[in-house]
Amino acid sequence: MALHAGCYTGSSGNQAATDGAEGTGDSDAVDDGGGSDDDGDGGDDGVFGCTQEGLPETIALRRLSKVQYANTVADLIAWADADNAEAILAQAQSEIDQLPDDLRVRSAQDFRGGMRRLDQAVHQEHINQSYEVGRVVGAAMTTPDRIAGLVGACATDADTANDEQCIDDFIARFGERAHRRPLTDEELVLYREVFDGDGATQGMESVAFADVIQAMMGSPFFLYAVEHGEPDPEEDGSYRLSAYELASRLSYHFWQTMPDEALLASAASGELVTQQGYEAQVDRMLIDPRTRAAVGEFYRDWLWLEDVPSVAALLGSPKYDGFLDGMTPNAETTQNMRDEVLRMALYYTFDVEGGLSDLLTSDRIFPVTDDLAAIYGVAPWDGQGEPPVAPEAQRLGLLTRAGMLATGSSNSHPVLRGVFIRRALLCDPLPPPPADVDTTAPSGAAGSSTRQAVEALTEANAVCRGCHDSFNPLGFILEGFDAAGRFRTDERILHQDGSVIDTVPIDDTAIARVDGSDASEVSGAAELAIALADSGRVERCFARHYVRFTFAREEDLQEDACMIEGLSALATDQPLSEMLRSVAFTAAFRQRTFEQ
Amino acid sequence: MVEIKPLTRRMLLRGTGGIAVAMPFLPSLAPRSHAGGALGAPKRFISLITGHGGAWGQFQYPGDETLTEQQSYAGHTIRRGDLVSTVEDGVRQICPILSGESSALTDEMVGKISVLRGLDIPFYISHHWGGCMGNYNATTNEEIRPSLTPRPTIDQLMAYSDSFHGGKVSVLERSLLINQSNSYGWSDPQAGSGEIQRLPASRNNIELFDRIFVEQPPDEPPENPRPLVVDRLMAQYNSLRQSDRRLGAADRIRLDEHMSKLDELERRLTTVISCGDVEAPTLNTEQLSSAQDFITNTESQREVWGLLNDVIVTALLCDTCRVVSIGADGPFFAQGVTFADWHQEIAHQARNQSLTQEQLDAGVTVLPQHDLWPGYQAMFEYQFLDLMTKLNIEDPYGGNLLDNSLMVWQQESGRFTHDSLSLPTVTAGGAGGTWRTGQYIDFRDRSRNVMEEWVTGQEPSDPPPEEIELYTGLFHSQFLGTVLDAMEMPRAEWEVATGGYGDDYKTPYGPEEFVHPAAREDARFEALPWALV
Repeated sequence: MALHAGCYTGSSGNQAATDGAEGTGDSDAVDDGGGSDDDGDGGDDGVFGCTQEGLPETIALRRLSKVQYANTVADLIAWADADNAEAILAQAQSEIDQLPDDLRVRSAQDFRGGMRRLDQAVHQEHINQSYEVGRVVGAAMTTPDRIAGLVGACATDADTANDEQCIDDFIARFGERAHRRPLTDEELVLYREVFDGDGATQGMESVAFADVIQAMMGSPFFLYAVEHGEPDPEEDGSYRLSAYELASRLSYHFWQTMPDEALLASAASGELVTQQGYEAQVDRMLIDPRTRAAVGEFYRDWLWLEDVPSVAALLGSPKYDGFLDGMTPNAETTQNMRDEVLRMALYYTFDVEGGLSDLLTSDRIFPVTDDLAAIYGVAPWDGQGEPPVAPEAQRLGLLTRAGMLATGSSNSHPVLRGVFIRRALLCDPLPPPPADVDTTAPSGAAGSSTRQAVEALTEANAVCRGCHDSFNPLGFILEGFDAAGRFRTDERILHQDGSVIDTVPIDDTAIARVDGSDASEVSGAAELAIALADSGRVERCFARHYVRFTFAREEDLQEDACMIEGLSALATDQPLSEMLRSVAFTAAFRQRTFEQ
Repeated sequence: MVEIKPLTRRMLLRGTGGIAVAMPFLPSLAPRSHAGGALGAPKRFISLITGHGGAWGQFQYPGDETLTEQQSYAGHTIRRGDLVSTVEDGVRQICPILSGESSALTDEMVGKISVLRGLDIPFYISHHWGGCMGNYNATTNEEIRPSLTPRPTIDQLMAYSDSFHGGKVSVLERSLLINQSNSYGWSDPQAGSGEIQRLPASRNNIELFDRIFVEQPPDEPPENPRPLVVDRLMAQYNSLRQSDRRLGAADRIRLDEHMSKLDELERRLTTVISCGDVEAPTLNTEQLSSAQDFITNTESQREVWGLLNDVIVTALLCDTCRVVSIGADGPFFAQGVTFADWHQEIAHQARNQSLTQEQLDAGVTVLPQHDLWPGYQAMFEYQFLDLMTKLNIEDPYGGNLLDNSLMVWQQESGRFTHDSLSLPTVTAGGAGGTWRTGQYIDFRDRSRNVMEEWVTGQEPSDPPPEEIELYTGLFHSQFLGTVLDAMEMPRAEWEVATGGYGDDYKTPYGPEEFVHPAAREDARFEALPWALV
């Protein structure tokens, strides 16, 4: 099987590097064509079949995310003045922190989850704060004891004959980093005017250098990905990214920061637009720890890790304390739970030749702290070597991590667990709750389990049942784990004072309908994990989310169909890192549109 | 020219870790521009929106007996009366939620409050963040959301209105958005164009303080003043925008929007403020509210709101900002943890008249409603009333700062969580003499109790008999338009083509009986009766 030309090689290999994509892509990936949802999984996630080449609309003037901006500022400072970088950054940190946080943007018809990179809103605070960051950084970098290190000895020597060259060199050198490409002649003049300050500058004044730095850090080429592209000589109406634009795309995607020396050099030499050069840079970047951090952000958003509630907020409540039954979460436990999910995901992405199915079905656990290890009933893992095997056979895969199960209260939440699987793992559209929804708490009571309470509330009439039938069962199957993520065979029904008033057995068998039609029963989390992995649907959903993350936009179900199909095929039978890598070889990554 | 009085001792704000405005207060270099307050002073607007709602009428509103006047309006009878209060054991009470220590909630303060009942969003709006201030599109109800036009919230209309600012904006910060955002604005707010986007809020009082007090230029200008860097940035963006380098149409729009914000930045950088010596706060509200026990630490919550209120008062007093929007979600001031899941166990069960057998078996002894409404009482006393008290000082621009302001407290839902009829609305201050105070108005049509038609009162999850009442009232958007009228915002700046504020009223709220009659639709373009002076 071969990758579809439209998905992985842009417009039939119109760029030198493109040609290599076929070779570097997965030779087993498939182009099976077909119509809407012809993926054979039985589900209907709305993605069209891959039938035609296409390039979705590129988002306009993409803004650096807050993380990308902060990383870029830090790296620029470190590049310019490594000796003082820490001190300079410390001076600017509070101003950087005051930039608006990026919000998770939900996709259409979604009502939970969302990717931060999709937040492309530009608020007044972005402009005010980035201006202030530039001012503080400029001032901090140009203090009398630092300016020679930044600009060169010519900045402070007694020889005035070299001043002009000194200034121009600094502008060109610093500007190349700030703009992530060499400055144009027009820009060299503009920044020289900034330095001169309408005649206010007297000699080699520090404030003039500071103004240049501030201006560069407020420029569109610093705050946004400004892409002009260049006409594709082989295809009318198509535009491929320039070498420097490509370098920035790669760098911000994999590293969340500006291109490094090697990447800029590769762009400058033209190597980056050759097959070999492009591949070499992608492979180099992929093994860099910064890629791990960036992919961690992807997992954090995809898996709704921000929604993991505090498991310590209700400490002191007799009922909650009774539920904990000796478990002692602390202020860090929630973060430890999030971290464990990330550790697992990154382990199977980078540390072993793991695939998505490993992530879904692995019996390994990754607790490195006492609190989390206690939940799993093991000793903490030292983070080295093979992670331990979970003591319980039911604890298979991602969904059985404490961070995916904790509710912060004494009640498990099968409804939300099921909704998460449908939305985040299967990309199934779910309608919102109806207007007259009964919102009574789904908690257990004497003689009645949480599951029974939820069933009574949501399955009593056809209106509720219509939707809840699709996700309740998925949540019920996970009822073998309590609201803190502990394995259980019985549910303890608690009195308000924390005492146990009843114990009811767990029923974790249900018809999961992972693919929307299969009516066979699934018993327990382990079987559910396998059913999800076998369905092939998680890969497709994973690919859709990764497209959102990569391109900072919602996927176009038609134009992106080939790319989604190709990526999901890789996720099915290749290591996850390969799938993540392959996105850099798609046409959408290396080309762009210019809608008029 | 407006005469600006110096600060008196009464204006001094000082609290532990809070802000201190030290004398002498040097008001801005006159003349400042104002939107015709009662004494020529600027008008200020403060919105507080609390999540959920769901308090029973007996706790949320004064008694019916206080409604001493009535008139026919929009096809039904509406009622009003003066606010009355009682004092017992040092606590003054308008109604259980609107109560507080009588030393703070004085007769004078009661006279500056108004309570409005019967303001409806006539469709199921589910959870929403922008609805209370007019962006009904900001709802989690995905079925209805596509039919609702995104629009700026009224605070942002004011923030970007030259008219509101007296012809020329002289404040440093257009608006302060605090804790949780309920504010939406255009992506190019100066041009009033682009997309509607949710604006970021901050719960960090020091960060907020930094926005309203920036380092001021020295009194003596330097010999060779340097041009502002922002001017060069503007030139650079404009050069890119105008160049023949390849860009998409949307790229150019983004550049236009950026330049518009650079323009605003330049305005801000050249704004001169003068407020004497103001000591910055030292305690950080973000850190305080991040504490593990914050949701049950009532003292800490009170301190946080007090510190945030200090920033607000300082901003308004020094006229560095005239528009403030505050958001808060529950639980509020929980008196110890009696729940494991506040949203489900309290907010969503607060309408129940009695405990279920299961709850009794589980040892629950307090009706969820009685866990809920005291939280709103505490919000009233420690946030709203605290702010009222701090604003009830002489305004350096003339008159009283509270009287020159309009504070509006709304809740996300009406009687029950997610119920969008009768969003509880409390106001304080006179908006510079245009907003009528000291009254309770009930806009509801009491001729038809729609709840009687679908609630038997027999179930534990039903409300108690005295709470089995639900009447439709006037449109919530009519209230928003009235507020804009009170703030003297020209209607040309906000009225939609069909008239009034907003036009999204075609989707019925559930059953047919919830559809508001045509007479009320026609009336929604008018100012609310009795609301304005």
